[in-house]
Amino acid sequence: MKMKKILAMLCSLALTMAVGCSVPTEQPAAQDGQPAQTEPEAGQTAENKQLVIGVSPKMIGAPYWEYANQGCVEAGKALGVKVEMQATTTASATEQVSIIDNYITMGVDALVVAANDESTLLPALKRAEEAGIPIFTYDSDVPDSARLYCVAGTGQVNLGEIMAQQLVEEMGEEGEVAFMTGSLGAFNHNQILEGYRNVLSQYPGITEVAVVESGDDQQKAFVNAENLLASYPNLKGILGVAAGETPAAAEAVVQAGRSGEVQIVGVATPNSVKQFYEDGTLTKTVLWDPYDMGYIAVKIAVDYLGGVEPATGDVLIDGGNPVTIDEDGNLYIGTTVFTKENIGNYDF
Amino acid sequence: MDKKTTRTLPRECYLLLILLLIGFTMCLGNPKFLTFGNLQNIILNNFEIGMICVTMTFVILMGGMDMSVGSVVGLCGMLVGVLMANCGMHPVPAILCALLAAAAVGALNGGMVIAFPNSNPMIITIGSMVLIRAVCRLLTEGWPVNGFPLSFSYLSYSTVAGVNCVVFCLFITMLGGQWFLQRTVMGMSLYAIGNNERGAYFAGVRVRRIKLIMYILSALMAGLAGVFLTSRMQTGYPDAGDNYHMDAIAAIVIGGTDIAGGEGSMMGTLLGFFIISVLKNGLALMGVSSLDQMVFTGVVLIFTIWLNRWQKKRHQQKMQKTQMQ
Repeated sequence: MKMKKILAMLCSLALTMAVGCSVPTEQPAAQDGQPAQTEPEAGQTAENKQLVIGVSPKMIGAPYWEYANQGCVEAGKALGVKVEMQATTTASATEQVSIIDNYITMGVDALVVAANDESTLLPALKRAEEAGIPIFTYDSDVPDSARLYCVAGTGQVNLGEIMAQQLVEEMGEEGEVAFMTGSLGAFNHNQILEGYRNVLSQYPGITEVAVVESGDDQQKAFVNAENLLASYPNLKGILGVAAGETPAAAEAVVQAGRSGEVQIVGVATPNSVKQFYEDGTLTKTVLWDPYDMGYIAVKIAVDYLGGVEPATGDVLIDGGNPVTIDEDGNLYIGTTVFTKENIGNYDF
Repeated sequence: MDKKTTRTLPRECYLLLILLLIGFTMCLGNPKFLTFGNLQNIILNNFEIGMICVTMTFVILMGGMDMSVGSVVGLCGMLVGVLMANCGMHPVPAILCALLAAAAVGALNGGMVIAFPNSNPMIITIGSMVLIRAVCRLLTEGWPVNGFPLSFSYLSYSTVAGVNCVVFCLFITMLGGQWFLQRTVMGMSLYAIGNNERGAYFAGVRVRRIKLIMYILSALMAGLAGVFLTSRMQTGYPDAGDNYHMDAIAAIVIGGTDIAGGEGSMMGTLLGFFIISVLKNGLALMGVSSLDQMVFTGVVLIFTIWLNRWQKKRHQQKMQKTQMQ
C-alpha cells in the first residue's frame, strides 16, 4: 500500500514535469481541434481571424453589473468579435488576478477590465503589457497601469455640477441647501462637492447651511437627513453625493411629511429610489448607463485593434451621448438624468 | 493467493485517472493549457489554498475541523501589510509578528476545542472565524493596505531555474505532510485519534497535546498563506481568503479523506487540490462562462465523491468475501 502511494505520487510529479516539456509536440495536434470548441454564435467574420476581447468586470450577478456585462456582450455581437466574460459572483480582486492571467495565457487581443482594486491588479496588468496586450479599463480605473483609455460615467467635478444645476432647476434660485456626503475624507466625494459649489456660487440667493457625512452607512445617512430637516425648517434642497445618501434623504423627507417642499437631487441607482418618484418626493437622480459603459469599453478596444482611436465628440453607441476624453485618457460617456418618465426603463 | 483477491486499486489511482482525463480534455479545448507558463499559473493562483490543504488534512484526519483558516489568511495578510506600510517595519520581523499572531489564534482554537470536548470543533472554529474576520476589518477600518518595500515581493516572485519558488514550496510542503503522516508517530496517531479518540487516549496517545499542536500548525500555515497572498497581490485585504476553508475542505473530501476523520491521505489531498485547480483554469481557458464553470465544477465534485464511496464499498465487499472464505 505504502509503496503504491509513493509510486502514485512520483507518477503525478513526473506527469507535471512531462507535461511542461511536451508542449511542442502537443501543440499542432491540439490546435486543429480548437475551432470546433469555440462558440459558433459569434463566428460571423469568417475569413479574418476572429478577434477575442477578454472582459473582466468587477463581478457577475449584481443588477448594475448585469447591465454593464450585457453591454459588453452586445458590443461583441454587433462588432463581430468574441467577447470572453469571466468573473466571480462576489467582487474579488484576488480572483480577478487569476482571470486576467488566464486571459493572457489564452492570448486575447485586448483586455477590458473594471478593477476591483487598482494596486492588486497592477502586477497582472504589467504582465499583460509585457505580453503586448492593449489594456482598457472601465468603471474603475488602474491609472498607474499601461491602460490606453478608461471609460467612466463622467468626471466627479462635472457630476457635481450637473447635479447642482438639476437642483437649481427644481428648487429655484434661492433658499437653503444641505449637502449629504459619504465621507469627507474620500477624494471622489470631495470632487463632487467642489463641482456642486462651483455652480451654487453663481446663485447669491442660495445658501449652503450644512455638509453632513455618514461614513457610507445608510442608517447614519437617514439620521443625518432627519437632523437636517429638524434643524433647518426652511431647508429647500438636499444633494446626495453617494448612492446611499439619496434614498436615505428621500425616506427622511417622506417621514417628515415634507415631500415636494424639500427637493432632493443625487446619485442613486434607479431601483433604490423608484418608490419615491411616485409621490413626487424625488424628481431627478443622476447616474450613467452601465450598459452604454460596457458597450463603449468593448467598442473602443475593437476600434483600437482596427487602428481607430476615439476622439472627443464621437457618439460610440446608438442613442448615447457624445463622449469627452481628457488628457489622462479618461473617456466620459456622460450621465443619464433619471426622471419619472424614464426611470421605469431601468432595472438595476 | 488470498492476498491477491483482497487487493483493489487504491483510490488515489482513480483520482489520478480523473485528473489526467480532465487534463487531456483541457488540452483539446485549448492547446495553451499545456504550456509551462500556464501550469505554473495554476499553482501560483491556488498556492495559498494548497498550503492550507496540508494542515487542514491533519486536522480533519484527527476528527477536527478548522473553519477559521480563511480568516487567519486575512488577519496575517493584513497584519504583515499594516506593520510594513504603516509602522515602517522591515519585512522579516513583520512576517514573524504576523505568524506569531497566527500561532496565538491556533492556540486559542486548540484550547477551546480541548476545553469544550462535547462541542463540535466546527462550531467552535466558526466562532473564531467570525471574530478574526472582524479584527481584520478593524485593523484599517475596512480599507486595503499597500505600499510595501520591494523586497517583500521577492517572497512570491523569485525563481529558481526559471520556476517560481512557490511551486517548489508547495510540493515540498505536501511531500513533508506525506512523510509526517506515514513516518512519524505523531502523524500516525492522528489516524488513531480520528478513528477512536478514547481508544487512542487509553493506548497512551497524548490526545490533547496533539490536538493543540495541530490547531496551531493549521493556523500557522494559514498565516503563512496570508503572508504569501499579500506578497503576491502586493495589497493586504481585510476580506482576503474569504472562502479558503471551503475550497480546502472540498479538495480534501475529493481526495477521499473521511470528513469525520480517521481515514485519508496527503496524496489524495494533493490530487483533490489539483483536480479543482486544473478544472477551474482549464474551463476558463476554454472560454466557458463563469456560471457554467460553477455547474461543471459542481458536477465533477459530486461525481468524484460518489466514486470515492463506490471504491470504498467495493473494497469492503472484497474484504468481507475473503474473510468468509
